[in-house]
Amino acid sequence: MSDPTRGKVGAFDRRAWSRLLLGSVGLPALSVLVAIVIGAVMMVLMGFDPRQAYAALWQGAFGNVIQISETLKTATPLLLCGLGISFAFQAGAFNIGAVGQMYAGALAAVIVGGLFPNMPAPLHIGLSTLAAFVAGGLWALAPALLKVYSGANEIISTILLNYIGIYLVDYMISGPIKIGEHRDAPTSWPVADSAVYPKLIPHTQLHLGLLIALAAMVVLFVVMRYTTLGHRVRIVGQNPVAARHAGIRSDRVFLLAFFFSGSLAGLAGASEILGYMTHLISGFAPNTGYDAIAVALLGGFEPFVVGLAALFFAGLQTGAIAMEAVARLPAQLVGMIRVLAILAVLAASSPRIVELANRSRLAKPELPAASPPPPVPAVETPEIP
Amino acid sequence: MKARKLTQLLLIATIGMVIFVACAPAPAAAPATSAPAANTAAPAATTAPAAKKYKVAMVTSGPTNDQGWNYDALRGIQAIRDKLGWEMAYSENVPAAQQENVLRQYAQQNYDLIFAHGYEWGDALKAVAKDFPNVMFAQINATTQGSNIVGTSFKYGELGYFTGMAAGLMTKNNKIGVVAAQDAPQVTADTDTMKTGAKAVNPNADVNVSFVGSWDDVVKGGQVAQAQIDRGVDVLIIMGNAFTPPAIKLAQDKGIKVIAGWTIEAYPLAPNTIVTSGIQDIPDVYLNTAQQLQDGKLKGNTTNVFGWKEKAQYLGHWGDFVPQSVQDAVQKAEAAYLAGTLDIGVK
Amino acid sequence: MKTLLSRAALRNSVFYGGLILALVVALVLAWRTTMVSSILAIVIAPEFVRAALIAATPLLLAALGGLISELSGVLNMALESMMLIGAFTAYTASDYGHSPWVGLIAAAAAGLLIGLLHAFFSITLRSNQIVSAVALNLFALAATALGFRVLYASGVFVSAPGFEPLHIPFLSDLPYLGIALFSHNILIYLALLLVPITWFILYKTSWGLTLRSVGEHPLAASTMGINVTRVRYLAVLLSGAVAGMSGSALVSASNINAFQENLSAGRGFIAFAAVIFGRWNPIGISFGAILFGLGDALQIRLQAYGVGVPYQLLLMLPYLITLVALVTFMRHAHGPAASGQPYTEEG
Repeated sequence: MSDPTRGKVGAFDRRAWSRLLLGSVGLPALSVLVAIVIGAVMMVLMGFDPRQAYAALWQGAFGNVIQISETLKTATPLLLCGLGISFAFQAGAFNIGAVGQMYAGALAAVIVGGLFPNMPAPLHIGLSTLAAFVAGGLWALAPALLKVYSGANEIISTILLNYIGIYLVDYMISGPIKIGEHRDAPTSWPVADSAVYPKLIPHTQLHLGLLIALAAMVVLFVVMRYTTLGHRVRIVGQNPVAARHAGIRSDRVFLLAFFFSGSLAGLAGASEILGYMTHLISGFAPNTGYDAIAVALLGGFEPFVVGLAALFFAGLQTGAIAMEAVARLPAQLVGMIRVLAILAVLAASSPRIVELANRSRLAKPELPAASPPPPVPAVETPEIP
Repeated sequence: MKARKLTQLLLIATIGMVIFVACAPAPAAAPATSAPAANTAAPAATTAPAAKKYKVAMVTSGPTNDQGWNYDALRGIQAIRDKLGWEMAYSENVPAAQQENVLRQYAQQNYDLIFAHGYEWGDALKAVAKDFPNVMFAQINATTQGSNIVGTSFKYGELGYFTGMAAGLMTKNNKIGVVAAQDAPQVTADTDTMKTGAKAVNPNADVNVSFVGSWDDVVKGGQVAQAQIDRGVDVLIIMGNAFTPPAIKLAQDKGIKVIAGWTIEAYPLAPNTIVTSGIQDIPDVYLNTAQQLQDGKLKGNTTNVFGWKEKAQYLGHWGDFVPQSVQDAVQKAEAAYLAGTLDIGVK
Repeated sequence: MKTLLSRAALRNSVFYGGLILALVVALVLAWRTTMVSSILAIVIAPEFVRAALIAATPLLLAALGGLISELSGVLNMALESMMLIGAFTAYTASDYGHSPWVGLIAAAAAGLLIGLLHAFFSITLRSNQIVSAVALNLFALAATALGFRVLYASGVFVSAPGFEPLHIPFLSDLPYLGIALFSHNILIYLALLLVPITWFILYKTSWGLTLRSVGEHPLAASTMGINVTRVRYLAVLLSGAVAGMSGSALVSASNINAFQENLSAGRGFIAFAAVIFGRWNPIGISFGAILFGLGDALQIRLQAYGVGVPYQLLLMLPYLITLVALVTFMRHAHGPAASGQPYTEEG
C-alpha cells in the first residue's frame, strides 16, 4: 500500500494496486482452496461424495437468478458489518461488538419503522435507516468512551454489550414492542409497509440493503484512500506515536472509528429487518457479527476485497443449504468446512507467512508488500487521559 | 518472482477446481453414493399398498439432538419412513435468512410432502409454496393460508392443566417449581393452566415459574432447577428441550419428584423420580399427515387441530411410586374434560 | 501492585464489591419494593453461596489459565474455545472412560491442543492475537457441534459420570458453612486450591519470574539468555490445559453431566474479563470469579423467588455487574507491558 505521507493522495498507483490485489486476494484465496481440499477429505471420511457436494454448493450459491439473489441478500449484512470491523481495525481498534450493534440497529429500525404508518415511503425508509445508523454507532461509542475516560478494556465491554443487546431485544419484543396478535414465539410489531425496503428483483428477497452496502463499500474506500480523515485513521492505527507527534488526537480518531464501525453494523441490522424480515424476533442474527470478523480478515480489511469475502461467505452459507438438502451433508460438517477456511485464511494472512511469501521480492523485510497494517491493539495498556 | 508463481498456481488451481466440479455427477438424480443412514432412507418393508415412491422432507430451525421439539420432528419423519416406507431427508439448524432457500431446494427436488417445523416458517411458506403447486407443505404449530399448505395446531393449555393437577396432588409441602424455557405464548398457555390445575386440587399450592431463557442451555437449566430445589420445592415440572433430561437427573440426585414435558416419555430415564410425562405426540401428527396425503385426503387451506380428544396430547407412564388415588383422580378429570363437563380454561 | 494485593487495595476491592452488590440489589428493590424480605432471604441463604461457588468455578479455572498466558505476553481470548472443547471432551471421555477423572484429564489435553494452535498462530505466525482467538472460538463451536453429532447421533440422552459431592466428616455438618462451603465436589476444592498454588508458582519460583519477565520486557529477557518463544509456548500450552479443565468443571461442577452445542455460552469471555478485573493477580481473579458467580446465582434466584422483574432483564444482570465492576476497577490497571504484541528478534 502506498505510504500515505508520501503525497500520493489521489494518484493511481498501479504497482501498489497489483501488489494489493495479489497479497490481499492471492494468498487468502489459495488458503481457502486448501480448506476446500481438507473439507473434501473430511467428506470422504464420512462417506460422502465431495464432487457432488461441492457441485451442490455451487448450484445452491450461484446456480440461477433466485439463488444468486439469495446469496447477495445473505452477503449484505456480512458486508456491512465487515466494513465496520475493517474501518475500526485500520484505526488500530478491534470491534468485536458487531452483534450487539447490529441488534441495537435492528431494534431502532423496527421501532421507527413500526411507528408512523402514514409517512411517505422514502422519508420513512430514510428515517428508520438513520435511526439504526445512530443506534449502532452509539452502542459502539459507549465502550469506546468507557475506554477513553476510564480505561475499561473495550474488548470486554463490547463483548458484554453483545449479550446485553441480545437480552435487551428479547425483553423489548416480549414487552414494549410486542406484536398485537397472538404469536407462538416472542415477536415484535411489524414494520409499516412504508418503511420496508423495495425489492431489487421481483419475486426474490433481494432488497435495497444491498445497494446501501455497496455504497458503503465505495464510500469507505474513498474515505480511506483519498481523504484526510482516512489517512489520519491509518496513521493512528499504524503508528500512534507518530500520530501524536503529527498533532492528531488519537482519542478522537478512536472514538470516531468505533462510532462508524458500530453504525455500519447498525445498518446491517436495519437491512435485515427492513429488507425482508419485517419483524424483530429473538435470535435473528446470532452469528453475523462474528462471521463478519472472519469476512474482514479474509478481505484483508480493504473495502473491495471485503466485498469479495462477504460474497464468498454468503455463497458458502447459501450453498450449504443446498449441500444439505441435495447432497445430504449434515449441517455441522458444512460448518466445519467454513471454519477451516477461516483458519486457513488466518494462517495465510499472518505476518510471518506473508513475509516468507514476499522475501525474494523486497529489499526491506519489515515492510511486507500488501499485508494489512499490523495494528497495535490498544488492549492492555490503556492511555490515561 | 514468487508472487507471479503464486498467481499462476492460483489460476491453475481455480481452473482445475472448476473442471473438477463441472464433471461431477448431476446432484438432482438419486445419489449413487452411500450416505449415513441418519440422513437418507432405508425403506423398510411395509404394508402400504402405494406403488409410487413418496418422499418427505423436514426443515427446522433448531438441532435435532435436543431431546425435545426438534428431535420430535426427526422422529416424525423417521416414523413416516419406517411405517409408510417413504424416503426421508431433513435440514436442521436452518437460520431465519435461509428459510425460503431451503424450502425451495426440497421443492425443486420434487418432494411430495415438506414439513416446516414451527411457527416461524409462515412467511417463507407463503412465498415459496405458490411456486410449487405439486408439492404439499405442512406447517407444525401454525395456520398459514395456501392451497397447498396444511396447518396444524395443538391445544396448548391441556397438558399444563393435567400436569399441574398431578403436581398439586403429589406435593407434600405445597411448593411446586416450574422450569420453563421462554415466556412465549405457547409456553405461558401451559404454565398458566399449571397454576389453575394445581390450585384446583390443592388450594395452597405455590407454583413458581422460572424461565431459563433458552430451550437448550443445559447449564442454566440445571442452575434454575437447583434454585427451585433450594427454595424448597418437592415437585418440579421441567419443560425444555435439551436441558430437560440433565435437569431430571439432577432432581433425581436430590430426591425431588419431576413431571417432564412435553416431548419425551421420561419414565425410562428415572422410574422412581418421574411422576408422569406430559406428551405432545408430534411423530403421530407427522404420520397422520403423511397417511392422509397417501390416501389422497390431504387438502390445503385447512388446519388440523391436535389435542386430548385426538389423542395427540396425553399423560405418559406414571411413576412406580405414584399412589393409585392420584392416578384415578387425574384420569377422572381427563374423562370429565373430554365429556365437556370440566372447564380447564382452554378454548 | 503486581505481587500480593496490598491491604489498601484489598480493602478497596471488598468495599467496592459490596457497594456494587448493594447497588444492584437496591435497583431491584426500587422496582418492586414489596420483595425486600424475599431478596434478603435469597442472599443470606447458604445455598446461595454454594450455588455461587459452583457457578464461579469454571470461570476461575479459565481465568487462571488466561492469567498464565497473559503474564507471558500472549493475549488469550480463546478461553471460550478452550472451555467449550474441554467441556465436550470431558463429557465424551467421562462417558467412554466411565470416570469423571478421565474426563478431567482429557479436557486438559484438549485445552492444551487448542493452546498449541493459539500459540502457533500468535507466536510463530505472529497473527493478531485477538483474531486468532476469535477464529479458534468459531473453530471450537463447529468442531464440538460436529463431534457431538457424530458421537451422539441417536438422540437418546446419556448422562456422563460426574464428580460426586464430598462429605467431610466434621466440616460438612456445620450449620451454615457446611452447606455453603463444605458440600462441594472435589473439582471445586481443587480449583480453589489452584489459586494459592498459582500465586506461589508465579511469584515465588524462578520459573514464575522468567514467565513474568518475558511478558514485561521480552527483549531484556532474551538478552539474559531466556528463550522467549519457548517460555511463551509453554505458558500458552499450560494456559490451555488449565482452561480446558474449566470445561470439565462446567460439565460436572454444576451436576448436569451433559453436553449441548455451545455449552459455554460466553463464559469464557467473562473469564477473560475476570483476568483484567483481577488485575492479573490470582487472588484478585478469584474475587472476580466469585463476584460473577454471585451475580449469576443471584439472577436465577431472583426469578425463582418471584421477584417481579422481567426475566430477560434479570438475564442481563451478570453482564451488567461485570461491566460496572470493570469500569470501577479498571482505573490505573496495567497488564504486562508486552501483552498482545508478537515478539521478533528485531525487537
